[in-house]
Amino acid sequence: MGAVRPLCQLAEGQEAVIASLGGSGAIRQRLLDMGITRGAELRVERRAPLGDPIEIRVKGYYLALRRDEARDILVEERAAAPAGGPGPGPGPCHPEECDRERCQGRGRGRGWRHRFGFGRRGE
Amino acid sequence: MDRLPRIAIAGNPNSGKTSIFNCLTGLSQTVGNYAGVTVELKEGRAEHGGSAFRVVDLPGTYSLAAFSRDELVARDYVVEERPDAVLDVVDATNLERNLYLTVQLMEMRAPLVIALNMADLAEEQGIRIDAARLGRLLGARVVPTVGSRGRGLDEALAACAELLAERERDTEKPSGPALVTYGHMVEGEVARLALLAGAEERLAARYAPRWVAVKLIEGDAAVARRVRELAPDSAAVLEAAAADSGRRIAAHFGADAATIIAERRYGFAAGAIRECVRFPAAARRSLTERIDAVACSRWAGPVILAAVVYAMFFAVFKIGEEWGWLFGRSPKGWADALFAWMASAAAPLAARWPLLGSLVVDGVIGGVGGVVSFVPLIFLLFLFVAVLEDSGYIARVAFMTDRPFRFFGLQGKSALAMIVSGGLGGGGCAVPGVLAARTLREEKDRLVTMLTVPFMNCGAKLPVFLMLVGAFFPGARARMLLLLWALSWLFALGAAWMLRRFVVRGEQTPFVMELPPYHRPTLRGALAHAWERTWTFLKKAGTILLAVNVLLWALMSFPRSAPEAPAASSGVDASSGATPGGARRSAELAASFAGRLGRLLEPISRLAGFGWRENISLIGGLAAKEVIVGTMGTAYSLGEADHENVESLSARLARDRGWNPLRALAMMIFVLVYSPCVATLAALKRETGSWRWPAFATLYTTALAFVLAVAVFQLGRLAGWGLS
Repeated sequence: MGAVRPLCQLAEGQEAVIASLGGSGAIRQRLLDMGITRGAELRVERRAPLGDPIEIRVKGYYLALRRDEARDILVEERAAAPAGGPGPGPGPCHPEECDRERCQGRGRGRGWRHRFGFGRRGE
Repeated sequence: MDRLPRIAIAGNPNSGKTSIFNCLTGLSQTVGNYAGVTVELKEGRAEHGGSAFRVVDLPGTYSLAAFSRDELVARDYVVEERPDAVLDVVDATNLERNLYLTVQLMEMRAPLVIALNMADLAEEQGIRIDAARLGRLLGARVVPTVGSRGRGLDEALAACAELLAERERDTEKPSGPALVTYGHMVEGEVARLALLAGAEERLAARYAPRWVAVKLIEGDAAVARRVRELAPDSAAVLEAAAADSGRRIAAHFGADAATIIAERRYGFAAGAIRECVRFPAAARRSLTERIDAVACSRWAGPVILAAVVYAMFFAVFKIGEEWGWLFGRSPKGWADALFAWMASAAAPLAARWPLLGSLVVDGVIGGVGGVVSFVPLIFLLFLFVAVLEDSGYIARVAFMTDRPFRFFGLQGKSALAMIVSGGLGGGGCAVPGVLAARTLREEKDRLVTMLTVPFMNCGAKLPVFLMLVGAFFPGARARMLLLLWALSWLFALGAAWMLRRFVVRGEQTPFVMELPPYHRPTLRGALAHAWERTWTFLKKAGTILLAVNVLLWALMSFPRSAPEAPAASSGVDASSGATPGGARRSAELAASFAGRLGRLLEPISRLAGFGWRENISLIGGLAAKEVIVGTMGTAYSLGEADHENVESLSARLARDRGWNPLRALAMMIFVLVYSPCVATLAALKRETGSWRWPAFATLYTTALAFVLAVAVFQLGRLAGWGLS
């Protein structure tokens, strides 16, 4: 079992288990409804041609989400498993391990997009 | 139809819900808006074993949390309208997430029948589902179906009929679906709250107390509002109790109540799957994965996207307009011929009663026909879009284009609407573009998309550009059209950026979208889809467009002037080389209400270089941009105003001393940007549910167009262009 970090930092092909879900309101409920629940296994399938959004496989289907949303999902990395058989059951979750300050501070409110007023959320 | 038992069809998007609905109801569908919102609820009639049912197709949703419009509509229908049965369409190849919705329907105590759809695909993939056992576990009948081929639908209807009969026999204690439990701790809180809610008579009469309790603990604002309405005295107590429960749950589990409840729902689904479903030992790499490894890859992805879009346009215009493959003509050619024949058939009428004849020929046939003759093209375009949608490729388009579009406050799904509207540089129409924006589920992104698609170079603006470019930039036709195409994107994206910043403000909506597995689209499904949208368009043409065209005709025909009315009074230029009949028509036009309006506006429009004739044709262009060239033809006294005159009008303007390339450029930019046509405005009204946005769209685009045209004209003059 690896370290806990935001989903947006995973590389293509990496597998992980969801440790906790941040965010609030409609976005959070939407992610929950789409199966982003603690203990669920996921795999980063690919990034879009411009690097964002990313596509993950979760609960047996494919989901596209932006890095902004992926930032709020904390996952516990797994060594990239060889393709094929399903891994062991959901691992224990460690919500207390999540250092929210560190995760949220990363990349938030900096890029050019933010200067133009987009991507502002939950403030 | 009202007395018939009602079956509501619920299910996830991409679960094959629509094809089941289409199979069940055939051609008996009607589309109705529901309770003031613009989400459509389609209704139809289905028959089984001698009894008939009213079938309602609810919007496809993943959940019933009521955070989106679709979810709210689907949920309200189930709770408020209380259908006699709910047919929950579940994708058998993706059970876990689909059962999440089922669990919520179970919580609502909806009389449930489950259609285990795409049963054939599940079997192909080696997924074995014990339907009977799943049914016992969920407390509902489970019927395997293959919606795309219509298999299992009789059984599904039979199951609904059985359920109805059962509920009629047992009115005292209707057998409902199984209870979903949330574990000891949460259940204690739910039970306490349900007891409080159950004590409120009016509330308990409408909703299952347990459901209200769960929703209040989840923090559902819509349910809280209903509680305040139905139980105003104890609403505060209930909400406080729910908040307390939420806090206790959060303290106990270390996560908020909404998370715990969602996890338990998924847990229930996962448990049911563990008991009833066997998966193949080693999952093969699916076809979808293999396609996406190429179709969404960094380099090939955009190339394939461009190729698909180009192929679509190529096919639509070749099949629809250029190739005479249908008994010597193209479909568009037949449509044009039909209206030409109608006009000639009405000619005797014109001979006897000139006014009535003119109304029928110019106003009705010319005006409506000009738009309706595009129906073959529009149908083909819808057909291709339906194929792209049904196959699942559209979701990939959105995935790949999201990033660039987001910069301007739009999102991936806006790309398709823009392309349909003419984003490839001519050809296309903003009416289907506005309708295509429906695939955007997020309200604000959808609104901004709908407000900016009219900037695209639609097929109707093209004749104006061709005419003016032909007259004034004969050596640079391709370059000028490319420039206009680039400008259309610049204006659309720039306007989106401005709108997002100043008008449709607020946080940008998240982009969380399923990439559904690829499916081979069925011709029947795609045809049904395309026809439904085409029919919507036709109805619009038959009502609003007809009315506006008659109005425009009246403005351009009244008051009836005496033949000796001054023809050259505007003093711009004396018409040279005009036919005598044309001169009379031109004079009549000048004296008509439209002519007076055109001259009234002339002092202002002169700033942009437009004379009264241009004003009339631009006002006429509000009805449909196709009208612009025709009206200018009339105004420049060329007799019959139709498309055959594009060349000669072009030549006429090139000779005219009042015209120069600069004026033409200003005019083209104005036409590119100014008000969407009436058909687009009507579509906007329909989609937004009020006249506020169409009115706004007219004003902001026209103001922008005027500013741009004046800027181009005045700056150009200062720079000394076009004065030679």
